[in-house]
Amino acid sequence: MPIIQLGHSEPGVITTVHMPDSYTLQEQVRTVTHEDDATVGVWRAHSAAGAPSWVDGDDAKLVEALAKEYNCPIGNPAEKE
Amino acid sequence: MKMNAGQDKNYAVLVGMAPIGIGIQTATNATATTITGTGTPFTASAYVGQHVIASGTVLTYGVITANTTSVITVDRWYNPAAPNGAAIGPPGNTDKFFVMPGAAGVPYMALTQNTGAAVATDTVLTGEIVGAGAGLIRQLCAYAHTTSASTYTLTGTFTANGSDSLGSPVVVAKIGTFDSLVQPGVMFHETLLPSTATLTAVGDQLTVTQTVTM
Repeated sequence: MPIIQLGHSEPGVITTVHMPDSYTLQEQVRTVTHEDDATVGVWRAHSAAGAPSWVDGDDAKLVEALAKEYNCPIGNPAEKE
Repeated sequence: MKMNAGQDKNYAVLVGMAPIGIGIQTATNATATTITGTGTPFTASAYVGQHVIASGTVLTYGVITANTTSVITVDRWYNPAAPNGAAIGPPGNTDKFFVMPGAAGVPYMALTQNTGAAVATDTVLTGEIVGAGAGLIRQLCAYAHTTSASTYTLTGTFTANGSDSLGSPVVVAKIGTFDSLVQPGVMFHETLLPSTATLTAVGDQLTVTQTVTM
């Protein structure tokens, strides 16, 4: 299962998502980003912020898609220091 | 709402349920839903809800639904590389197997059009949507946790396909979470959606998140 990390604004606070292999890329992105009046996806369930501060993970296509969706950088800044 | 059976599952997952006294076993028979040990090595009904892992002809695991002193019954044999996919196996008649410490988790979600209130004593999701190859059937979902939070989430994205019965709209009202990909399994939560979701065509999608307080 691909593992995705979504960084919060508070240092060290990370939402870790284990994503089914059976999902298409579109379904994986929707699973994280979905939000409507009735139901929400992973990010909204874990944070009131509009977007993660950063995104990382072991699935490059999914990471890139989420970074583009949220307009946020790729990579945990704490691991770049 | 967490089911009464969910409380039992919670305990079993957290405590670990070490199968004390059971080592690696050699199968003497295996079917699509059973594996038989050599002699009578097991304590009857002691391992329900745990995983049994078999290796040899195939590498596979199943969720134990019953056991006698010699035979373990599982929900099915899972492919570790594709747990949401078709069942594999069964193990070979002389394959090695063992009962894994710790109870099986609850990563599966199912949908229903039933609008009845969740009741703690419910053990099945009334009217669960089923159908071979359908997109709205029970599935392995994404699970997520935030550092130090007292909750985790289970999120399913369901995409209607040509095998779903969309002749009349599917109006999803409630979800259940389970420890097995196949019915019945242990139902951990049963939750009415804040509002119903109507799916009418192939490609329509529903994303649902169940937040669980630990």
